[in-house]
Amino acid sequence: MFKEFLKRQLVEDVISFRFFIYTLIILVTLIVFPLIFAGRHQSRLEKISQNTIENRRRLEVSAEHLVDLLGTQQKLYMEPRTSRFIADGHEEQMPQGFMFTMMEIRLPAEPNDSGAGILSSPDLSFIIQFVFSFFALILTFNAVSAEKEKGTLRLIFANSIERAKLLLAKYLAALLTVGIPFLAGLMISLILLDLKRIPTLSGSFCIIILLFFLLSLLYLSFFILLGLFFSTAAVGSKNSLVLCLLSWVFVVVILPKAAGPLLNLKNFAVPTEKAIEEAAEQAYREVWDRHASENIMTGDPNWESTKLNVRISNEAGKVKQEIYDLNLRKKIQAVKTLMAVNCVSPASLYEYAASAAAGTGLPHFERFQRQVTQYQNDLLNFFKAEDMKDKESPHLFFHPDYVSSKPVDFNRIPQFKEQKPELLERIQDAAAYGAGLILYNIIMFAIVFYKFQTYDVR
Amino acid sequence: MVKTIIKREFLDNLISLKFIACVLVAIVLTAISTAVQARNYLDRLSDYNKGTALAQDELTKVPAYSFLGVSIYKKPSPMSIFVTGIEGKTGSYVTMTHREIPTSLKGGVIKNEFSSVFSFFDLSSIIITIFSILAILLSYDSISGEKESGMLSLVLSNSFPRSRFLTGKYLGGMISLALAVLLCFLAGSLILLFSKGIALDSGFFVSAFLIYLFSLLYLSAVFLIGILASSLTKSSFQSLIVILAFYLLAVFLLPLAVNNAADGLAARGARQYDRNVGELLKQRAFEIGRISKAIPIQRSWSFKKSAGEKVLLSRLNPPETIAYYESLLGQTERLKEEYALKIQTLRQEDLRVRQRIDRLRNWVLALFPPSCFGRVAELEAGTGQDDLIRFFQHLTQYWRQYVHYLDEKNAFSLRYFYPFPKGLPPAEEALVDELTRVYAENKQPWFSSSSFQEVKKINERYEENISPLDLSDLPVFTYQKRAFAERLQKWSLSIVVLFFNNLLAFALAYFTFARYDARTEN
Repeated sequence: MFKEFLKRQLVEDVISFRFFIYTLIILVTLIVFPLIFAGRHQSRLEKISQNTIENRRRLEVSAEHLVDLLGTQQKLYMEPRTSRFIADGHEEQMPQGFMFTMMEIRLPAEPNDSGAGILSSPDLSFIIQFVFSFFALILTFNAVSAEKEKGTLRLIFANSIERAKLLLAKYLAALLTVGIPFLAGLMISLILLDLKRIPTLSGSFCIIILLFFLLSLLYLSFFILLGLFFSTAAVGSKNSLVLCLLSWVFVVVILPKAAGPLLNLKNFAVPTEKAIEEAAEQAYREVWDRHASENIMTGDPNWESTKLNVRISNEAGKVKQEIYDLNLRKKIQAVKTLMAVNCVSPASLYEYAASAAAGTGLPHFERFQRQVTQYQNDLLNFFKAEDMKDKESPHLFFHPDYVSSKPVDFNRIPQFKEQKPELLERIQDAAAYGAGLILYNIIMFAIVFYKFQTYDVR
Repeated sequence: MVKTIIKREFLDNLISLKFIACVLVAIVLTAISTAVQARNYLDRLSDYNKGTALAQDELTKVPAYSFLGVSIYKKPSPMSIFVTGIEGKTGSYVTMTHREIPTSLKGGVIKNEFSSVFSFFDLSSIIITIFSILAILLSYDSISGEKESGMLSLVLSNSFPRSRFLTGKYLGGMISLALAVLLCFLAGSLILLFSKGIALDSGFFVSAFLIYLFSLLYLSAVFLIGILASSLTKSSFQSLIVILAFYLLAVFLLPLAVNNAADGLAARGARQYDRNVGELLKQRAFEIGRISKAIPIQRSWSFKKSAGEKVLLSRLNPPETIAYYESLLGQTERLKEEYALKIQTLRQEDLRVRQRIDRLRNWVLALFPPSCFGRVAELEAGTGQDDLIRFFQHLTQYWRQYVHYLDEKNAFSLRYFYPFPKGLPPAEEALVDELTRVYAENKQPWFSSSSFQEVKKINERYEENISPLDLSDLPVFTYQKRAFAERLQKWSLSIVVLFFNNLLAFALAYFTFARYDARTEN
C-alpha cells in the first residue's frame, strides 16, 4: 500500500506544472553557472600562477646573497580550488593570502574594491540554498491541504490506512522529486566543467560531491517538512502558501544576516588595518625605548653591545608580529562566533557545512595560515643551516650585517606550496554542521508527525 | 464604481494576513537596518572628520617637498544609510603625490576583512526582497482568484467595463503598497531624525522621496506582472508558481549570474592592465637606474632620513652630496611624473573597456525591474560604483593642478630634499671634511669617531629649527555629490525603461484580461 502511495504521489508531483517550471529554471542555472565559474576560475588560476612565477623570481634574485632572503617579500595566496564550484564560502570577499617575508607575515594592504558589488559566487550551494529550497516549499505547501480541499484525504483514510505511512510517502516523494532534477543538473554541470578543462572526475572530488549531495538532501528535507507542516497547520492552501513564503524569506534571506548587527558589539571590535599597523610600530619602538639607556652600538660582532642590539631587534620584531597575529586571531574569532550565532538558521548551517566539505572559505584560510607559519619556520631553519656553513659569518641571527652573504643554491631554498586538505578533515568539519541539520530535521519531522496525526480531515 | 473597487481592494488588503505579516516584518527590518547602517555611517563620518583634520594638520608640518602628500578623504553620504551601495565596503582615502595618480581607496572603516559575509540589509534591499513578495502576493490572484470565488462573473455581469475593473484592482493594490512602503520610509527617517550626530539636509529628503517614488514604480511593475500572470493562467496557483519563479530569477539568480559574468570579463582586461603597468614600472626603474648611474657621486656618505621615496637631508652634508641629490632627484621626480601620466593613459583605456562591460551589464540588468530599481536608487543616492569612478576622475583633474603647483614652486630642486640654505659656515665645513677624511680612511666603525658625534649633534640642533613649507596656496580638492540635474540625466534612462516595463505589463494584462473567460469551471 505504501508503495502505491509513493508511486501515486511521485507521478502527481512529476507531471505537475510547478515541477516543469522549476526544473527548467534549475537546469538553465546549472548550465549557466558552470560556464561563468569556469571563466572566473581560469583567470584566478592564471593570476596565481603569475604570482608563483614572480615569487620564484624574487627568491632567485635573493639566492645570490643569503642575507637577501631575510627581506625577500613574497605574496602567498590561497590556491583557488575547483571545489569552490560546490561552495565558495565567500572566499572572494576574504583576504586572499599574506604578504610574507621571513621576518613578518601580514594581511595584504591592497584594497579589494573590484568585487565589492558582488555578494555571492555562482556556486552549487547558492542554487540549493535559494532555488531548491524554494522549489521544495512550492512542491509541498499544499500536499495535505489540497487533498483535504479535494476531498481525497477522507477517502484515503476511510480505508483504515496508517497516517504515518501516507505522510512518509508524501515526504519521500517530494524528496525524490527535488533530488532527481538536482542529481541530473549536478551531472550536467560537472560534465560541463570537465569540458571546460576543469578536472572534476577525480576520486576524492567524487566523495566530496557525494557528501555535498547528502548535505543538500538534508537541507532540502527540512524545507519539505516545513512545507508539510504549514500544509497541515494552516487553514487552507492559500494561507499555507503565504506562511511558506514568509518563512522562506525569514530562514533563507533574513536569518543568515541576523548576526550582522552583532558585529558592532564591543567584544568583536578590532582596529582598522591602519591602526593595527600603527600599534605594531608603536610596540616595536617601545621595545627599543626600553633599552635606550643601554649601550646598543653595533660594530664588531664580538662586542656585547652588538649582540644586545641584535637581541633587541629580534625581540622588537617578534612583538610587532604578535600584534598582527593577535588582531588576525581576533578577527577570525569574531567571525566564527557570529557564524555560530547564525547556525540558528538552517540556511547558514547548510552554507557552512557545504563550504567545510568543499574545503573553502574560513576553514581554508585557517589551514592556509598554519601552512604559511610552517613555511616561515622551514625557511628560518634553512637560513640558519646555510649560514652555519659559512665560516666567515658571525651567525648573529637575524641582523643583516652579521649573517652570511654568500650565494646559496636556489633549488634548495624551500618554496611555498599549499597542501591539499585531508579528505577526512573536511568530512569531520562538515559533520558537525551536518549533525545540526539532522537535528533540525528530526525536530521538524516530530512536529509534522504530531500535527498530521491529529489533523482534522473533514 | 471604480472608486468602490479601489476601496474594497484596499480594505481587503489591509486586513489580510499577508499584508500585515509582510509590513510588520519590513518595518522591523527597516528599523534594525536603519540603526545598524546609521551607526556604520557615523563610523565613516568620524573617520572622515578625523582624517581630514589630521591631513590639514600634516600639511603645516611638511619639511620638504619630498615629504608632501595630500591625504584626501571621500566624504560619506547620509543617503548610504538607505542605499548602501559600495560605500563602506571600499576604503576611505587616497594619498596624492606627484609619483602616481591614485586609482583605489585606502584605509576605510572595514575593520574585519572576514566579515563581509555579514553585511546587513539596507532599505533598498528590503524593498527588493520583501515588498516584491508582498506585491506578488497581492496581485497573483487578482483575476484568477476573483474568478475562483465567482466574484468576477458577478462584477462583470453588471455590464461593468473590464478596463475599469482592471484599473480599480491595480490602483487598490498600489495604494496599499504605497502606504506600506511609506511606513517603512517614515520609520527609517524618524529613527534618523532622533539619532545623534546625523545632520540631514533638504537634499537628503529630496533623495529619499525620489527613491520612494522609484520604489513605487518598481513595485508597480511587479504588481502588473502579477496581474498579467494572473490573467494568463487558469488558476491562481499556477499564476503564483510562474511569478515566484520570475521573482527567484530576477531578484537572486540573474543579478548574480550577470554580475559574475561581467566581473569575469573585466578581470581579464584588468590582468592585461596590471601587466602593462608592471612593464611601465620596470621601464621606470630601469630609466631611474640609468640616470643615477650617469651621475657620479663623490663623497658617498650622507646624513639623511628616508622612508620609501621620501628623502630629507640633514644640514651638515658634503656639498657634493647635496649637488648629487639635486641633479638626481630633479630628473627622477620629473620622470616619475611622466610615468604617472603614462599609467593614467593606460588606465583610461582599461576604464573604457570596463565601462563598456558595465554598460552592457547595466542594460541587461535594467530589463529586469529589481536590478533596475537597485541601480536607479544607487545613482540617486550617489553610493554606487558610478560615483566612485567620478570621484577618481575628479582626483585626476586635481592631480594635474597639484603637479602644476609643484612645477610653479620649482619643487624638484634643492627644496625637494633640503630645507636649509645652501653653503656652510667654515667651522662646520671643516667638520664635514674631517668626517669625510675619517670615512675615506675607513677606520671601522667610522661613525664612532668624535667628528661623527659632533656632526650628529649639530644636525639635531638644526632639525629643531626647520621651518615647514608654506602650503597655504596649495590647490584644495573639492568634491560634491552630483547636482540634481546631473543625477536626473544619469538615472532618467533607467527610469524610462522601468516605466516602459510598467506600460508593457499593463498593456499585456489589459489585452489578456479583455479576452479572459470569466466563467468558473464548475
